[in-house]
Amino acid sequence: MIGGVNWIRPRRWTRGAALATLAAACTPSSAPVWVLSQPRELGLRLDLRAPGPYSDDLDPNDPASPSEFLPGDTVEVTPLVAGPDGPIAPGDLQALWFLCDDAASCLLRGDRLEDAPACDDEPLAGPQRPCLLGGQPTASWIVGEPPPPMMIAPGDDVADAAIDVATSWPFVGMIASPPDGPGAEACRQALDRRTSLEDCLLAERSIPLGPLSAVADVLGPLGYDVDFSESLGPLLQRPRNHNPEVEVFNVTIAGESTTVRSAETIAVPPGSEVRVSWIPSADDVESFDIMLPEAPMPSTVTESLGGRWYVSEEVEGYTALDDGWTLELVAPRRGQTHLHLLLRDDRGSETSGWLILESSAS
Amino acid sequence: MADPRIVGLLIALGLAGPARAVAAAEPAACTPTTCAPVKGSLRAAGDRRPLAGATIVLIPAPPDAEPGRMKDPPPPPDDPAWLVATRTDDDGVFETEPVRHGLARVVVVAEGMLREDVIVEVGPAATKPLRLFARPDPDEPYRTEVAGPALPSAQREPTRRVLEREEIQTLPGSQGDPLRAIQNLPGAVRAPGGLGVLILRGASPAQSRVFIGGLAVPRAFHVLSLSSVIPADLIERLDFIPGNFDARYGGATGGIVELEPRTGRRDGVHGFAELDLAAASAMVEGPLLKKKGSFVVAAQRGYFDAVIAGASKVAERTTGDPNDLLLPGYYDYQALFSYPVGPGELGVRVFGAGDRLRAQRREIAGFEQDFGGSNSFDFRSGFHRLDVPFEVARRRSTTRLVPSVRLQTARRIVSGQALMRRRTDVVPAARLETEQRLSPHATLLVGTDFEVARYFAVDEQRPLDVVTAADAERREDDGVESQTGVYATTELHWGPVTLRPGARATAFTVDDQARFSVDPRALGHVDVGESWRLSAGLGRYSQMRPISDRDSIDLFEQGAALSGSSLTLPSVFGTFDPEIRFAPDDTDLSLVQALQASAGAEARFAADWTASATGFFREQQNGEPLRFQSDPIAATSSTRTGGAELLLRRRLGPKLYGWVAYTLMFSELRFTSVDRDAVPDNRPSDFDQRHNFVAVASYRLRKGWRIGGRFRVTTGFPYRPVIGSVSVRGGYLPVLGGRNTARLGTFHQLDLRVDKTWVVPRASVSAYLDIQNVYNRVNPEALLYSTDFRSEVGVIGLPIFPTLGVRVDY
Repeated sequence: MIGGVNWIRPRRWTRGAALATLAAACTPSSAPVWVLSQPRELGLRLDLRAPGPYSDDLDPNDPASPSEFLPGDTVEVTPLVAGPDGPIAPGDLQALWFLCDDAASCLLRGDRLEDAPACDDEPLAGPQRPCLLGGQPTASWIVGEPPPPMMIAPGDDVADAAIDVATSWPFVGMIASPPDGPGAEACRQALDRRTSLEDCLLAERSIPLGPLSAVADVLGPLGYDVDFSESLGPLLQRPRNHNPEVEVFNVTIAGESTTVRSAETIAVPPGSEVRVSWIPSADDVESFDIMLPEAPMPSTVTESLGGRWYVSEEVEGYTALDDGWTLELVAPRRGQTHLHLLLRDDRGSETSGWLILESSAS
Repeated sequence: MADPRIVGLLIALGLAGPARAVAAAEPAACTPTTCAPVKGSLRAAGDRRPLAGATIVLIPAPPDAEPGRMKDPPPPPDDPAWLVATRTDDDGVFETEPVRHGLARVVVVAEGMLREDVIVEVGPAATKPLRLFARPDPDEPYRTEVAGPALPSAQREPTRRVLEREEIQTLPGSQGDPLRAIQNLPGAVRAPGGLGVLILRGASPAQSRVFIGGLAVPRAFHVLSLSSVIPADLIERLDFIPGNFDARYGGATGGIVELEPRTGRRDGVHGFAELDLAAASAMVEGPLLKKKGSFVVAAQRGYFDAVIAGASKVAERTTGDPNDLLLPGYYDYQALFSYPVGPGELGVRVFGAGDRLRAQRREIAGFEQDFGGSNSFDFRSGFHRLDVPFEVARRRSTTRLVPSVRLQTARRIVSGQALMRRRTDVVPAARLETEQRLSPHATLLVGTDFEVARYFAVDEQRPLDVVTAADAERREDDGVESQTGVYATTELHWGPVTLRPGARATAFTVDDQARFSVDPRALGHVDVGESWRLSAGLGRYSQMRPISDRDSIDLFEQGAALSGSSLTLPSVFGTFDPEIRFAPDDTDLSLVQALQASAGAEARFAADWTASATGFFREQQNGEPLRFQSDPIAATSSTRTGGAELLLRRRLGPKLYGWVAYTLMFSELRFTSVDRDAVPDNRPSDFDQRHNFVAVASYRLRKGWRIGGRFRVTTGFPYRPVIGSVSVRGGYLPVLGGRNTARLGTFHQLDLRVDKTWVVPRASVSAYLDIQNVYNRVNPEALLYSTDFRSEVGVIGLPIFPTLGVRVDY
């Protein structure tokens, strides 16, 4: 429960109460949520910059970019930000990064950044209330060893503490000012006052640890004396998660398809019906076999990968299909239209890509 | 010899010439074999009210007339051959002097009624008594007097507003509900979601009280505040006092509403039946014991749950998708008896109300069927009260005793959590007061009141592991909560100046804990000339602050999640009525105390117009400690409210009533000390509504039509915005901004109402169409965010809402 409200698993009666209220009229706000009328944070991408000792043991030659980490790994966080004129490079932001070395979000807990100390260069061992990672375009730090269970969840079951650590520790966040914004310090002050962040960018996310089998090996000696097979079960068989890449799109206009790479521009007839689909590579959508309890054969599990499209202007016919991998729209009458796709899987990896539609009569 | 007053009336009506009035008033000599009197009764068509003091005139019938009511009667002749006249008595009964056998024309003239002309057969046998019904004159309609004449001591407070029953029943947008009608007066904040909570001068609904017959009721509204627990038809008088109320009342730091139940009519059996889209109600009243006593019995049943369930079934058949449902249902009943005993009047009042709110899930799991059925949430509450009021009014004193006992129940079942909570209260209560005129310039009111609640509470929680079928954990609690007050007020008159100093001492107890308060209060006014009155009030008000309960249940929380989007409600919903308190916890009992001050001026001009301006201020210490759900700090806080109320009002007249009201209010929550270094910033209180403008008008047209409208413009409520979000496994969590740091958009709405009444001799039938939000504006009551909380996807408000109702009075 956060703030007295269970946000992820809503109480059914509140749903009913809200449904009764929704029997009332509901009117949309002035622009759809997918319109990038101003700079907007789409997500935070995590990459393994340098493996630690536990990761080396796993697969030192892993070609894909892991999106799960182990103590000792150096993690790099890249903000995915876009605006009406296209993607905004991290270097164009005035960012302030912070780390919450606790199995809880600093922002949700109400912490302030004003008096936060700088995070040490040494691996962190917590818990510490927010510390500052600095003002670089991207943030990086070395994941430390998780704190002892009693510091994560005093009075609670050790198994619960282990799951908290495995699923929601630590948290990294960014408060930033876009170009022509009020500046990082002004945004930081607004965040600390919990006032409107209309001209600022705010994002915070948990750092997923994994694979869980390796996490269990790390937690055991730290005092998390639990039988992880009982609490995590088949999840221990999941291999390490990786970031998908948004590199190639298939664009269909009037029945004719073309392959377009991310960041490229494609000409479209004004007013034409356009269909844009992300084409995953063989490694992007991960499948693996898991042996379920009392099952005679392993089951193949395919990760869930969903997309969300953002457009630099309001367009007709906006329709997202196929779990968000595909977008249909009517090309505007003139000019350039930026399309951004944010991909997110069920273990928290986030990545994005984009392309430009150029509406011209020729 | 005819009564000269009657002769004058006849002359004025053209039924007799001045020179021949005396001669024409005397019929030819009669004998018992040639003449007979005409007897009968006269009542008002529609409600069959006896018409006293009406003039009954007999003149010869025109040629070719036939017995019965004359349609399009010709004017009476200037020079009738004979004329006999009389008046009806208090029961509407009349008997004329004997007139010659044969047809005679009866002319009925009654104030406020159309003239009636009837041809009767006067025969040698005893003429059957006539039963005459006079129809109301549309240009001068009768109306039921609700409030009695204003007594010198009635206007005790600087701000006391009275609503007439006809105003309550016909006010656009209020569906005839008395407490919802109050929301249109200055000092009452527009309630969120159009519901019926009373937020008076910025005070929480829990800080104001509604008194029925001198004793407080635990709940003034039904679930989700769809209706008041007592209908307008049972109210003799409704007084709305938004602040600075007299020492007679305690247990509230905001304002009060006094509802005085009426006695039944003694002129015959009457009643009504009414049906609209949400509820059905009926009432019967009449005389008892040779018309010395009277009774009123009434009941109401809200069937919104049936309407929603029915509509949902239709939708489910159409779409194939099961629906979750929120089903509110309610009932209330009243039985009032009164009878004169000795020098006073003894009454017996039994009334009560029940509510049920269910959230019904269409997917049923076997486990949940055992504990809550298909209802994921099932809340029931009710109260039943018995009063035996006795009042004696003598020349120099009035004494009133109201002993009472009340039974309250509340039950909540949450099947998803396998939790049941139940509480029962038995509450004896009473008020005893006497008002004595000490001298022409001084009156003393002393009295006492008390409430002692003996409560029993049960908590039962069944573990989720149904496989092992472990026993439910059960906890029982019982105890006593009480509130006892002693008060005295003196009223002193010196010419145009009236002062009412007073004080109230109250003892609050919960089990073995006790707190005491002594609240001095002073009210006064000065009459300047014939038309002006200046008034002021100052006083302290105390109320027990609810002990922190194990589970203080508000039916609305700020913020709720739906799949696909998330709903944010403004903070005002967090203290929504009803809040269900279960067994109190072992925390300290503390008092909320408020200092209130107000001053105003009122002018009466023309016949029915008044204008008033009032300034008010309220500083309330909120008791300690105060904890916030999402800010885990302990703080000492106070609420400071100030503002002004303006009212221009046309009192209920033959055709028109209405008013224009404006309230300006600032209400701020201020923190004075905390147990941490950081001091929260002061912020607008949950009920801060800066501007509130209401214009109401209702006009009676011809042929039983009435039209009315209401236009409102108010500032939006403050709310806690979402300023960002955090990405976690499985979704997003919102980052909340400071509480009440944002404000919803301006509210404005037009409501229209049309009434049509058909009057037939023994009954009247009324139909109404009440349309709220005529131009279908989506006023923001709540916000919807996208699943990642990065943007608002829409606002929620009540759409255009028509209500159709039919009522039969007899």
